[in-house]
Amino acid sequence: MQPQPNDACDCGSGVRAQRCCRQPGHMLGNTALPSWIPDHIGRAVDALDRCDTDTAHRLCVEILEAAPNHVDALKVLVCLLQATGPMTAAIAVLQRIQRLTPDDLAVTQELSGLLLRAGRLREAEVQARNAVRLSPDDPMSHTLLAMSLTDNHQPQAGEFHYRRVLELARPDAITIANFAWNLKLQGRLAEARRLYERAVALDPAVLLTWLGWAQTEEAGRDLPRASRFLARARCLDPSHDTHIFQAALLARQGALDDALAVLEGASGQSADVAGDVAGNGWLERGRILDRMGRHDEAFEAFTTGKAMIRESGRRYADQEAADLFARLANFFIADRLKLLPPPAATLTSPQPIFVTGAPRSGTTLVEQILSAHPAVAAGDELPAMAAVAAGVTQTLGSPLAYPEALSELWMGDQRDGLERMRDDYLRRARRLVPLSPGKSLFTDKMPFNELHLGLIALTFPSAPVVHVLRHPLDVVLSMMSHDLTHGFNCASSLESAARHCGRMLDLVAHYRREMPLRYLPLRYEDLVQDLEPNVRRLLGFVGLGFDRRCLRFDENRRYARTASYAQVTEKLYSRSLYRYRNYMRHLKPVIPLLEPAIHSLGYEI
Amino acid sequence: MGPFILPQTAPFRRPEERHFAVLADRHMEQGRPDAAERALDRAMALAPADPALLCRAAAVSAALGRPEQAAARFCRALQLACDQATAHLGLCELRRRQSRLDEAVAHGRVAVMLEPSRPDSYYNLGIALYDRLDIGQATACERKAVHLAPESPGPHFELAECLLLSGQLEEGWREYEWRFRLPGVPSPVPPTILAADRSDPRPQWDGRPMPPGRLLLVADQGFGDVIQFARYLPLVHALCPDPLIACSPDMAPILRQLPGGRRLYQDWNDLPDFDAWHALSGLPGVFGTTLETIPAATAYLQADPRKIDHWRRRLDELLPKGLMRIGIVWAGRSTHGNDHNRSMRLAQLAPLAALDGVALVSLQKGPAQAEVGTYFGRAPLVNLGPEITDFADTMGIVHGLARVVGVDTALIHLAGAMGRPASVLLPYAPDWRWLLKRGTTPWYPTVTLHRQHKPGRWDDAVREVASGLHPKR
Repeated sequence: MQPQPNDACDCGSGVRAQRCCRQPGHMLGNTALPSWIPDHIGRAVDALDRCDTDTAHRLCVEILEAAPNHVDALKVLVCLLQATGPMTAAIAVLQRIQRLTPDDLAVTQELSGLLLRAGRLREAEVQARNAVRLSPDDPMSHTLLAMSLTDNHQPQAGEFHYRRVLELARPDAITIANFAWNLKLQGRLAEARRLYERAVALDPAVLLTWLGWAQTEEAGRDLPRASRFLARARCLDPSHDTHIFQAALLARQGALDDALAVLEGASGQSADVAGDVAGNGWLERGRILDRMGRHDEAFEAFTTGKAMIRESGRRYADQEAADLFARLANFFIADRLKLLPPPAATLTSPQPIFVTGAPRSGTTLVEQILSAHPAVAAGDELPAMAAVAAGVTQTLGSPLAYPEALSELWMGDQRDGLERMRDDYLRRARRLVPLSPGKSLFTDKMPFNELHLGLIALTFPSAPVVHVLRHPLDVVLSMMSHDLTHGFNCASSLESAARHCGRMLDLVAHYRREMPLRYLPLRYEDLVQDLEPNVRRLLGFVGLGFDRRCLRFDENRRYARTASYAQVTEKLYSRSLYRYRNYMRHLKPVIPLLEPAIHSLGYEI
Repeated sequence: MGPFILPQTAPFRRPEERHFAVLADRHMEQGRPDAAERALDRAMALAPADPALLCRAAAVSAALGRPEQAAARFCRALQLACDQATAHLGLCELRRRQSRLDEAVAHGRVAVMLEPSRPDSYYNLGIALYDRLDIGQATACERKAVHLAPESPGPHFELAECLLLSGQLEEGWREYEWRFRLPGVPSPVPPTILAADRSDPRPQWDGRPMPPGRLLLVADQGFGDVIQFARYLPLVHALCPDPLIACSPDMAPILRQLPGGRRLYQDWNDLPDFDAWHALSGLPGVFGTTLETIPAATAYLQADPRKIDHWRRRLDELLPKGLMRIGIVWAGRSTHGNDHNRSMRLAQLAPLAALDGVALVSLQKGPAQAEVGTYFGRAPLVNLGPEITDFADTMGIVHGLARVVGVDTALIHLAGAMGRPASVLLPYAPDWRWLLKRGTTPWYPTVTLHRQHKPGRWDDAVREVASGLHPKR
């Protein structure tokens, strides 16, 4: 349908589109302002102060009808929209203001803050960087950048900016608590704990400080302390939604009935909670029911949770995945790869070990075992290889997308392309991996990194790739019980999880046929049932001598920052083996999809 | 391979039946089994229960790659008339190909009893007995077949296989020369080349000295044969210096390494004039080789130092140090007549894959290479197939391996000719060159032989190889 001249703007501002985001270009010039506007502005501000949002909105719309680019009116409108919503409209209007006054530090900071709250992390980071450019000595700019980087999986860069904030301003409880959270995400729990102590000393009445501290203690396995701090948080604001964490904490302490009661008690109150948060509540409930042996109810809870997550917009990008897989299989063909120049000898800096596999297949366990070795740093899920793949077009100045852009490597002026991609990966990894002296290797356990197995083998021909395998039905069952975004959001339904896992195994087989790989398949079941020989094999494969500390990975104090962190702190337990047998009835629809993979991996149903 | 023999007299009741049957026979002779099938369909519509037609139809089914249908049709023919030697003959061959050797031999024996004057009955029975490793009886059968049809090449060739396998090389080489007369086997040198500019075609070499460059050798048969018989080049070179050698380009890195292996030709049109020719595979016969005189004192192939260096660096990238590197190959060319017997699946190497301290280096080429995609054994496996471009690469790799383990393919010959340790996995009834019962071979001192204990069963042989490896733990 054609937009009509009087339609309200799509951004939700309530202003006519022609006077808002769809202004014709000729209206952008300066025209003489009607004399009543200053008075209107004053009245709008008064109305806002009285919380009379309707009047304030009406007055703003009237001003913007006459002068669509009136910055003061737009600023009042932003205040209003922040109060009334929608948030997207407030962001859109702020973006308009920013275009009109690009050097306005306050606008840039506010925009970054709103984007951060809306979970639009990449955009928030862009604006936070703008704020730092505009005013490198402003602590707020650094706070915003620190928060965006931390949430955007770059906590080490985030740490730098928190430290800048503390240099530029007096320490305040919130900054200290946020910094503590940053360190917790880096696995530096002792430092985080000290900062939380300082934060509560400065202001003991901040709920999120106690909640963050509680989660830090939980990560550090001090569950009673975590429970105490959670209780402090709940005292400060009982209406704050903490029930999922509370239930998880109880479940981890074995109080399954209590955990379930918490979730059931909360389910009535959380009607206004976002779909994915509510969905996560259902997944936690399902996990507890699973441990109680109530499998049918558990699966129903998983299904409900996943449906809510899908409702919030997270669905499997089926076609996109299918296209990329087909293009990768078309490009990575032996005859073509022979033409690519190998990268020059590897450098002396710490080198990666790629621990790949489906999420929930045991990649965290393998990383925990490896990083118990003194020569290995744990890198966790590094987004670096995906970023290198996404940047190939730019790196090689190609008109094509990845993987076709790799064909630029056949050109005379791009012969060092693989070296540049390798160095790009290492640079990105260095920002994320805590590399203390003595570490010669680091792990990258990004699930489904098998997607880039070809690129990995080209850029790091000698880097070990450990492919963690687990019974595919156990994998998809576990993917159903956790909230995961990996693999094009494939975990948003049972069927898409199965389809994606099947696709991935086919692609791995293709890569293995077409190119030599330093590749070790490692079964999760073997690790659980026969630890030492498999740890020896694993260490041998990555080029390390056997170290008994790797057998005591449960004592590895490192906190793994993924869904599996609680399990890897337990000694190996066999209840995770062949759990799918309790769910055969529910998994039946995907058995035909997974059957070929199950048999080719050497499993049975 | 035993051919399916069609009944010589066809007592058809109606002329239409006869017409279609004759038509089918003609199509089969011309190698068009699909057209033969169409003709037989029409004949069988007229006479669905005619044993002679059923036997023809079974032969067509077999030619079209439908062994079950072929067997069912032969069996039906036997139900209708139990004295059909043709049906027994056909079943003898079908069951042999399915490795159901006892049944094959039983059918062959009935065929021989029903028509003792038919050479084909003895021929087919002899082949089934060979596969069952009853070599004495197989030899007797083939001798009988040769006696009944002295000009038929099939029985001569099978007799050669029996004789050579049992170590009777002298008579074996003579019979072996019949191989070029087998149906479908082209002449080693095109007749037009032999006859060019001469009133009489150029003769086969008689083993006497000749001036330089006047002898043509043809590097015939498979790559393994060329590698094995390349050892005779220095002997030829001493008698007839610088022979011309017609060979596939793949064989150049092999032949060039030997005295007398300098003048290689890939195109008949480029060939200079010559006075006599011989197939490389016939040289043992020319030199009267016996088990005691096989020229095998020293390794006669070496890897290029640059290739050795390249592949050592590549393998050091792809595998950790400290693992015993074992090269593997599990399938030969699928077009080889005996491939179903000599090749296996990668998964059947499981006892090797289960070893600690071992890394498998796949040198497999061709369609079977795809099997690495679904290998999930304990020992890491590196698939070098995609990067191997020629035998110079293969030699460079083999040089750096602790051992090569594989089925009877060129790789084993290569490792043996290089003097590298190798273990060959042999079918129950192996190719003649591996002889009988021995665990070693006079052709290659560094190669050990591991034979199937039962037809079609690889597990014992592979376990034997695995238990002989002693990787460091």
